[in-house]
Amino acid sequence: VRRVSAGLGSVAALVRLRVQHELQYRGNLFVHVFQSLVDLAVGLFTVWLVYRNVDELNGWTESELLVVVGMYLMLDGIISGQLNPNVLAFTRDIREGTFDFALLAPIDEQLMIGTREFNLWGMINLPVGAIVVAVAGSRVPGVGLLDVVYFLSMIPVAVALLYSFFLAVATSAFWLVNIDEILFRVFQSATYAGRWPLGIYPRWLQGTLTAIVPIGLAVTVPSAALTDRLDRWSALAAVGVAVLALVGSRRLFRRGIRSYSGASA
Amino acid sequence: VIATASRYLDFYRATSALGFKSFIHYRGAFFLGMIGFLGEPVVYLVVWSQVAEAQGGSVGGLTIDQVVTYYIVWTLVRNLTSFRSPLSWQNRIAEGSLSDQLLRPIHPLHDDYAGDLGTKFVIVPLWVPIGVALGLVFRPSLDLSVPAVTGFAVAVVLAWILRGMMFSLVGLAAFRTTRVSGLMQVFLAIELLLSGRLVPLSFYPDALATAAEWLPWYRSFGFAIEVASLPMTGREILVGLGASVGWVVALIALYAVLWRRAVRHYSAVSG
Repeated sequence: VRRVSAGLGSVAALVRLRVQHELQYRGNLFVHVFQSLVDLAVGLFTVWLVYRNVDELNGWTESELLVVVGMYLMLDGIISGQLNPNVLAFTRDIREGTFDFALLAPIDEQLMIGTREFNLWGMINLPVGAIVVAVAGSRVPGVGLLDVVYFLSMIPVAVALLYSFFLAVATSAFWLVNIDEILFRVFQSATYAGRWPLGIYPRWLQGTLTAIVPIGLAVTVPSAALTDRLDRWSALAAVGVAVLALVGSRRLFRRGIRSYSGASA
Repeated sequence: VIATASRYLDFYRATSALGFKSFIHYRGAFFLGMIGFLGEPVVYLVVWSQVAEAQGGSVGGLTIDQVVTYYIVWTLVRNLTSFRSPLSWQNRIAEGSLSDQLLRPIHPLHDDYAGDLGTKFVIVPLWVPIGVALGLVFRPSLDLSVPAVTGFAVAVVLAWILRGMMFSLVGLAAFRTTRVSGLMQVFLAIELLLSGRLVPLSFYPDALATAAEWLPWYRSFGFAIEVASLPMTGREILVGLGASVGWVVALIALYAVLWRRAVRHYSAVSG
């Protein structure tokens, strides 16, 4: 209990430090708000274009697809604000040898490297996406309080899937140099797929977006929960996959640490 | 004139060779980068093929085959029209390396074009296996007639020059502001919507499609794809190429005027 409490205390201090740092650059808020609005406008325009031609896309109505767009924006906020800055700092540390400092810190290394960076303004897509989900969800017939609770309960599953993916890719920096570029490209590629529900893709792409770059699964699971498409067995399976991903990425990370020899001069 | 042309040719040959050599060192990373580019067109391809299927086999006047071909050619054109980011101007100014370039007897823009040209000789061979794989999976129907192939080759070169000029014009903002990235976001959003990158222009309402055809973004991307993937007459191709040339000339003239004004604001930061 004392270790967990110390870890949480350290995380809170790190987050507080980063927020104070970010508040020095308030002008960046406008840049991020603007980028977020551009993202939103492109997403809405694309959905509008599709539904000019059809009433349903593979069973998904316009409002239901907007829930997916909103969910994608929410996860994008978490990625830009939390996951991406930490992964980039981590890979840089390995390259430059400064990961030694994280190893010497008196808290769990994984907790340390996953929480020390925080891009406050980068999280702007999180509330923007939540608004889109709320507005679009209210237009989906039959959505009630239980569906909202179901949706909210699936968000940690989505975050766990993405976190595990980012941790696993970042961990490969122990063996591969200059992983940032690869990570950026792979993820950039996958983000386009994350704006649409998994079910519209051919099987091979569904498999890729579930098992290799799980953004498709992460976006679709909560969206399907809200729109009454996720039965309890599928939900349980998603929880199981998320737990496995967390355990697997943790083990990979521990293995990476064992092969780290330090690069500092 | 011949001596000047020969000097420029020598410069382009040497600088593009340098661009080629520095690019080939990182071919693995660039190959992965190109695979990274694939997500975007493959998603568009899947979504719009489904829309076409739901409508009985066509959307915006394009058959499913044509949609597939459009997005596969898209991957080649996207790589061939990539250019040095406008943000590089911000770095050059911030780090003072522009001072170096200004002292040379050739405009810095030539350095960008020549260096970028060299990278294309790495990009094309790297794209071939990707193009073949996409072809095997999605079975496109390419128009390989002489007018289409020749038209495509000329259109894609003009598209590269035009996109380079547009990027360089955005880059000029770095002489007056340190927030070029914001302007870049606006530019990319407009490009996404009006160039044919998101969807072929025929998917838009008529008024929007017609307006987009008159703007330079379409000439810097979508037109080259359409020449290779959609049925076009020789006359349509020639008129389109004429429009591309017109935009290239207009943007070079605009750049010449704005460059003179911008460079007066430059104060070196070199160490």
